[in-house]
Amino acid sequence: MKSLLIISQSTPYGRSSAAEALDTAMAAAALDVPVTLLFDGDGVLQLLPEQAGTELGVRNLSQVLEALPAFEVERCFVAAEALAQRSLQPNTLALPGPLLDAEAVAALVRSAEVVLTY
Amino acid sequence: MRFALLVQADPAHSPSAISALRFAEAVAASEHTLAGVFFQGDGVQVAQAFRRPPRDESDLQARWAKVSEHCTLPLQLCVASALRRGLVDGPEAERAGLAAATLAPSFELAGLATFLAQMQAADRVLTFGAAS
Repeated sequence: MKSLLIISQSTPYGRSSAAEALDTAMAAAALDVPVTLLFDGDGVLQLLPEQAGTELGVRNLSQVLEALPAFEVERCFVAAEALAQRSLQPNTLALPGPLLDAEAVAALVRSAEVVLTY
Repeated sequence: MRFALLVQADPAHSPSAISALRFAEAVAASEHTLAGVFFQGDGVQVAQAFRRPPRDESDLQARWAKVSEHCTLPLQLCVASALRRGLVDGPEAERAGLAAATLAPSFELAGLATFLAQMQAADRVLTFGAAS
């Protein structure tokens, strides 16, 4: 099985990419594909608390994020630089996994056999 | 080399859509092969049967159909992305009581598992992303 890294770098509700990244990650985990999810760029905005996606008529992404471990998507990381660039404090976010500095992000990308960006 | 393509770009909104097509055409004309072409998100819009591109623009759908025919490869759409954008095949139109199927020939609906299998079978996977 080739390992898969999914980089989720889109805003939560601007278009459907953020939801598709999560769908793909969950489908991969269900098929026993070793999958890692990285939140980078605007994707870190998906981790802001108190989202009310249902008021926009779409799925509330934070609920999907909380459910990731139940779908066996266990390897999740967040790019620390993306938080700093947006003046976001990690302790105010619903972090699905550890923070990675730029060097660690680069190592993660290098180690993955397939990288998909959303 | 075997390539799997993931096309997320809407042909009306992003030049990545034609880049994906050109890449596939180049693969078809070479000694390399396609393990699969999978459309997700807004990328599925290219399969809308009722598209009427202006005369002075390239008909991406027709060009994809040629790639499909040349490589005897089905072009597959993420079913969830397709249904939420009104892209239905004959059986789905009938099941939902819709007036017509809207999916162009050479395209078919498939699950993400199909793409994940293409990914495993490929030497390289290329993503043609949505405009940011």
